[in-house]
Amino acid sequence: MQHDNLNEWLNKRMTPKARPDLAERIIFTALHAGQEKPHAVWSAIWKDVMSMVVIPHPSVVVATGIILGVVIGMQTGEGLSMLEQDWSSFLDVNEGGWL
Amino acid sequence: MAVLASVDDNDESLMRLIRSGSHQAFSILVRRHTDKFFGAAFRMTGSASEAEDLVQDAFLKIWQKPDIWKEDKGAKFTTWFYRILVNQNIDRLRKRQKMVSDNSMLPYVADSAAGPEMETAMNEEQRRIENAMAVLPERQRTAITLCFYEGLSNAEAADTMGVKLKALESLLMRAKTGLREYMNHNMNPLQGERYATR
Repeated sequence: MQHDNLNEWLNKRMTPKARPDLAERIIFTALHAGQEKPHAVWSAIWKDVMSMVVIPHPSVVVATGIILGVVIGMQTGEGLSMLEQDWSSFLDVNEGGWL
Repeated sequence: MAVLASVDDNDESLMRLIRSGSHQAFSILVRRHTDKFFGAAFRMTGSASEAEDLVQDAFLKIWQKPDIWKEDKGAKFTTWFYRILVNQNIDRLRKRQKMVSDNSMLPYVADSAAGPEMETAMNEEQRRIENAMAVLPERQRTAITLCFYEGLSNAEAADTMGVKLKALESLLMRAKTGLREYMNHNMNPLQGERYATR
């Protein structure tokens, strides 16, 4: 005997009803079980401590490196040109004095 | 000032209130969904008493650890709760297996055998269907429960079970093959053999 009407057969499956007091029992048990409160202060401290030891993502390192490089480069740019000026004047002086 | 929960609140709003410690919101949620989830749990376990335990454990879990509800993931509460039920069921089976392996004197009880309370109430056809479901491996039974009985889409069921869509489709196909074979062998009273495709 072939049974291709599997869905029809499965649809005949009955499910018993839950006992009428099941929901109330769950609610009552929960009342006495209490609730886990998140430890906000401890979790914040823990997060800070972890952030000190966590190795940053490579892309963050590269981006930070580029930004720092540009900032330092811009700051020292003026200094370099001043150095250049000093150097050239030094050469000028020496050229004038020795040659 | 504490926000009062109302029966008109949707599930997601109630979960938000539960996170802030509202037992009233929890009560509304439990009363609203216990029957529905009991049905799903029964189909997964095949036993009314185990289904009750499963539903109770799952609801207590969301009460005690409401932070496991991640609203930003956009899942519907009911779909998300199926995942809790499925995971609780897996834990239950693992504990049972451990108990059996720890104590070889314990007789092995099929994890999905219908309880005695059901046995008396079931007619012959119901018994056949329950037996057919009971011989399916746990994951196949869960896949059939979620997709066929609970009406979840394949994608939702795959997400609930934590498997890829293809894997879920394969589980469904194997379950149907197993059920068909069971039907073809057991509808003939001369052939009482039970088997399923693993």
